[in-house]
Amino acid sequence: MTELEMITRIRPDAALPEPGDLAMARDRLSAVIAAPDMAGAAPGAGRRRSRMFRHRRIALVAAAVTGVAAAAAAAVLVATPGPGRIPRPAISSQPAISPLPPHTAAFVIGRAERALASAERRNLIQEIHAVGQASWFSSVGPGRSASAAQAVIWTYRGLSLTEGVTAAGQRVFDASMRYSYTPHRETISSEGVNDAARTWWADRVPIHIRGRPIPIWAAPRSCATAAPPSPSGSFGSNWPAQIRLALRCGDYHVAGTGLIDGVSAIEIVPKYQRPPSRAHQVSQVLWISRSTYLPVQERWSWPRGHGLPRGSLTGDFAWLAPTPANLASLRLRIPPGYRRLPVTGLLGGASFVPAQDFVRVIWPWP
Amino acid sequence: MRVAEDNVPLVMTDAAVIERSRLEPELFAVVFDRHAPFIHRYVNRRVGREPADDLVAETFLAAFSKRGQYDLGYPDARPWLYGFATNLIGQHRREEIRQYRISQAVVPDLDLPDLAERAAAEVTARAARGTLVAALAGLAPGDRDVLILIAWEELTYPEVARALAIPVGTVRSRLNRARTTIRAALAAADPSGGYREVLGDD
Repeated sequence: MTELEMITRIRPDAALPEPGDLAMARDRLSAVIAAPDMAGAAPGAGRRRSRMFRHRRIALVAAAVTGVAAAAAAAVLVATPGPGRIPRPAISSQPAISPLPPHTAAFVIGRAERALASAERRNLIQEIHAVGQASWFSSVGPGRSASAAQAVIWTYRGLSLTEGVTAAGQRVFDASMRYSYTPHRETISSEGVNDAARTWWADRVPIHIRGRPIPIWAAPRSCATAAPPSPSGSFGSNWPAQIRLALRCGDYHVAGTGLIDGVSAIEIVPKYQRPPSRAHQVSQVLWISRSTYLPVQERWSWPRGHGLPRGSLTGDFAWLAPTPANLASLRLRIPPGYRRLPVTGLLGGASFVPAQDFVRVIWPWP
Repeated sequence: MRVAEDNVPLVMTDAAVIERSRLEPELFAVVFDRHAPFIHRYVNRRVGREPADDLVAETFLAAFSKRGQYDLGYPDARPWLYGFATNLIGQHRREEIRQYRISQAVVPDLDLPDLAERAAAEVTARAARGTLVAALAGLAPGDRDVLILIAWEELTYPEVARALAIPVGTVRSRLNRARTTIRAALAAADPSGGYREVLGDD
């Protein structure tokens, strides 16, 4: 027997792993494929970029309006490549790089759901630049309400932060709501800034309902109780989580491919049937990146009618690493000299497209 | 043509998949699905289960980031992946040695009818394994990498050369040095050659 054969004899007896044993490794790889910039960033680079982020985000919005944002956004965001800034350019009429075979639809939906799950597991900060119509994004709190047609929304674990901005990128309001839970105590904290009125508020409400947490900000976890991703809703709407659930519940199918801001993307739309009695319907389109399978853009639109003008709401998605600097940037910024208002009654916050009529009249789901 | 779930033809070589993944990164998952179990087993053998899970992830992350440098002349990517895994194992030498020491405590059942004979054989086998493991642990890291890739993972010399980015001649010289060291360790521990006999039993 040679030495080589003897070494072979002492080879540890390890079986091939089961697929489930490799899930963690595969998820890590998928997450990096989904957000390669985060994996490739040199130590400290993400922090440097994220430091700039909070300071520049308003500038970004303003720059986007003048049509020069793409390069700046790419330089600042620690996120998926190419998410567009507001306002959205028209979807390219060019054909996609290659057509998507129909038999890959289930694969695409599955990948998108997994990409979102991975982003959630990695506690990525979800950022949405939303463009709606006048006064659609409002702060809810003491004193005069502030509203804006555009907003930047961040969701991170129990925190949701909305910044209403003008078309020129000037902040109108900032409002955050944080839900925290320990085995003995649940608390909702809200803070808000109204720049027009130069006021701010802060509130903290302990909640005790039979010791059970109240998932105020979280999306429903069951298909039975799931609501479809919606352009309307109160502060804390977690769009990515809602989209993920809807994908998992089989509510979407693949409609085609296209280019969104130069990003090769897959168009997926809801499967719901429009009730024939309703003339006015919300049309919803979700674009996911063909390389990362994370949402790039979600767009709702509807025709004029029922006392509402024709309109649309577009949300562009980006994903930020939860670095200390990025997390610190999610804290509310209260300029010096602002007056604090006492909070009475309901908790403050923000709302999106709050009109109940809107929901009742043109809500698309059966 | 059969087509996998992810629309990658099953007959597509790793090189073709990696080339395509440069434009469609998500396709790199195909490389993972094809080779991760084998890389995991390799890492598990060398450093144990717990670090293996993490090191497999690191292996494929490193490979993904370097896919642009993959030599498309090689259709099979596994030796390339062994290289990343081996480099990462190199950062876990302490766990590796501990793993070898754990493995020496496990002696395969010896098919001997007499209880006393079996007990004696087990003692000898355990001692032989201990000697081999100690010799393996005492090898220079580069020599050990070569020896294990050939003896345990059954890579060819050119594949080892590719994995470790060294010439084939260096593979041969390292292997020769490792074998000499093992032989010397065995001879020192058991000049009668009894270890060879015991380890030769199935």
